[in-house]
Amino acid sequence: MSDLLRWTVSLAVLGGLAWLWYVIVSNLTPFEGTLSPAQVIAEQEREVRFATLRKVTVGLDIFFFFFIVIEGAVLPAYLFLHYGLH
Amino acid sequence: MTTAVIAPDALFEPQPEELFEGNALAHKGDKIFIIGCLICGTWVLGPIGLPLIAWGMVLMRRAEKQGVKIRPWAITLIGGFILVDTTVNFLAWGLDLFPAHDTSIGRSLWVNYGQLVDGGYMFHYNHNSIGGVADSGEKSVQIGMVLMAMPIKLAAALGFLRMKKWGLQWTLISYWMYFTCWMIYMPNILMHFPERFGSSDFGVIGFWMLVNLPFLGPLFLLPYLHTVRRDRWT
Repeated sequence: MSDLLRWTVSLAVLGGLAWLWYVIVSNLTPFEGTLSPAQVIAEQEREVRFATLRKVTVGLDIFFFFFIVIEGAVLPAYLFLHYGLH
Repeated sequence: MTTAVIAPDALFEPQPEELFEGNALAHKGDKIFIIGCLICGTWVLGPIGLPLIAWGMVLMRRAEKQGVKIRPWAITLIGGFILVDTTVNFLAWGLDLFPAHDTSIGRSLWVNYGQLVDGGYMFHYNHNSIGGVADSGEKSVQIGMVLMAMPIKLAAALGFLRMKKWGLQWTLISYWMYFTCWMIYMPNILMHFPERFGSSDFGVIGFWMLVNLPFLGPLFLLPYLHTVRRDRWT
């Protein structure tokens, strides 16, 4: 099998897997049911109660977001330049 | 793919004609943002994906200024992070699992990674019947992640960003799955310490900096996901 064919097969299988699971997951709501008005109020109160926790987690999320993106842009180039092809 | 960048409760309000243009702008911005996140998840194309993410966010901001009610920015950022993190893991491990591991670029990428951080990828690469990394524990986690956990997490992230109820629920489920995989992965990698860390150039420090720190995402996101207002996802 040529390299191009191997890449094509690999990416096609990954694309197929992603599509298959999207079809399954989007048609399967694990917990059906709607929230009552009292539950909606409780949800709103909980959001206010954990405001600090939410700010911290969103802040860390933004940090990791850029961490992964920058790492991804730099790492493969570094690996090939430093260690070469095998 | 249809994206529901507009907050669900706004969908039920009569939209003035002047907001039609803003709605189109918000949808376009959302699509560009999602495509940018997926491209960033390929790692190599990160420099292309980052400007797309920024441009998508600018368009959504413009739509918001025109009066369009869009989903909260925190949800957009969280969803974007999940997309990038998931695509990185799905694609990278997927290329080690499937025939790309036999190509010169695929093989070099993983053997080089082994030399830099995790020696498990350096020794006996492509020497067993499945190919790719030879460590049986690593391969087991990889199969679980690539065939199940990661594609579920990817689909869930798209539903999460579209403000679908199934999206939020599957995001929570897949994040607990991810956390479980991380718990399995850690002892597995540490039990072969001399081979996996002792033999690489940057060992434990490199592993924490390049792999394990981003893997801590679930620990930070789970509390957030459990305290969101569930009524926003319809």
